[in-house]
Amino acid sequence: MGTTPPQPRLSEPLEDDDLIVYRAFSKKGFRERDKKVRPLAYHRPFDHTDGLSLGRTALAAVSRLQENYGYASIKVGDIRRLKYKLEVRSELDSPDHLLLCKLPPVDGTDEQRGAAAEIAGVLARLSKLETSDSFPKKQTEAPQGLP
Amino acid sequence: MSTETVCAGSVYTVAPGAPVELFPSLVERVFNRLACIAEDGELYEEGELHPTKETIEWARRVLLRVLPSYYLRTAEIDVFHGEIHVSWERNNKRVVAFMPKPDVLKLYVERTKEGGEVVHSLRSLEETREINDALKWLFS
Repeated sequence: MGTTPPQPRLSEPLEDDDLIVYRAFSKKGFRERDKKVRPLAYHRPFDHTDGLSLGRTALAAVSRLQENYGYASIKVGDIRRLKYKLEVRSELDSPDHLLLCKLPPVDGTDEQRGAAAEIAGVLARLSKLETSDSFPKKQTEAPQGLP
Repeated sequence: MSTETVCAGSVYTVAPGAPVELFPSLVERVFNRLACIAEDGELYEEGELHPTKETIEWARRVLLRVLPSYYLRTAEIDVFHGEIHVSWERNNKRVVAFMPKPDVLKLYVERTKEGGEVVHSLRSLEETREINDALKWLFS
C-alpha cells in the first residue's frame, strides 16, 4: 500500500502583481524550442494535489529537477487577473518554492479536463519563454591534460 | 476517370488515376513519433507513467482515420501520465484529441474570440471520424 507524501505548508495567496515567477520545463514537450511555451507546461495531473511547481527565481524553479529543458516566466498579476481564481502560494518551509493552486486536473472529470485545457492554453500564451536550454548551463569538462 | 487537358501540345492530367499522398514524409513523421513514444525518456518526468502499448495502438488507429491525412502534418503528440494527447493549433483555434486509455477518445475544441475571451467544448466521441469535422473547422 502506498503512502501519501506529506502536503507542504503553504502561505496565503501572493498578492504582489508585479512579481515575476518561473515555471521549469521538466520535459521537452513543455516548449516549442526557441518559439513558445506549450499548454502541456501547465497541465496538472490528478495526483499532484498541492498544485504545479513554480519558483521565485529560475534557479528555484529548476532546483528539484534532475533534468530540465529550460524555463518560462509569468507575472503573478497576469495569473490573478484571469477569471479562473488561480492562486500562487509559497511553501512556508521553502519560500522560494511556489505552487500554482486551484488548477483543475487534466485527467479528472470531463468538466475538469475541459477547464484544465483552456486554462493551460491561456497560461501558456501569457508566459514568456526564457530559454529552451538546460539551466543553469552545465560546465563543459576540460579536455584531458588541461587544468 | 481522369480528365486530360491539352496545352500547347503537352498533356496535363487534371485528376490522376490513383490518389496521391502529397506529404508522405510529414505524415510518416507523426507515426514514427508515435511508435517511439514509449522509449523517449525526454518526454517524461521522473517517475511518470508511460502509456501502455494498447493506448499507443489506439492512438495509431485514431490517427489513421484522420482524413485528409495532410491534417497530420501539424499534429503535435504528447504524453501525459499514461495518456496520449494529439493537438493542433491554428490562428485563434485549437483542437486536442485526448486518448486517456484504449477505446476512449475525448475531443477538445477551443476558439479565442476577439477581445480574448476563450470558449471551448469537450465531448467523448463514439466515432473517431468526428475528429475530421473539427480539423476541417480548424483549417477553414
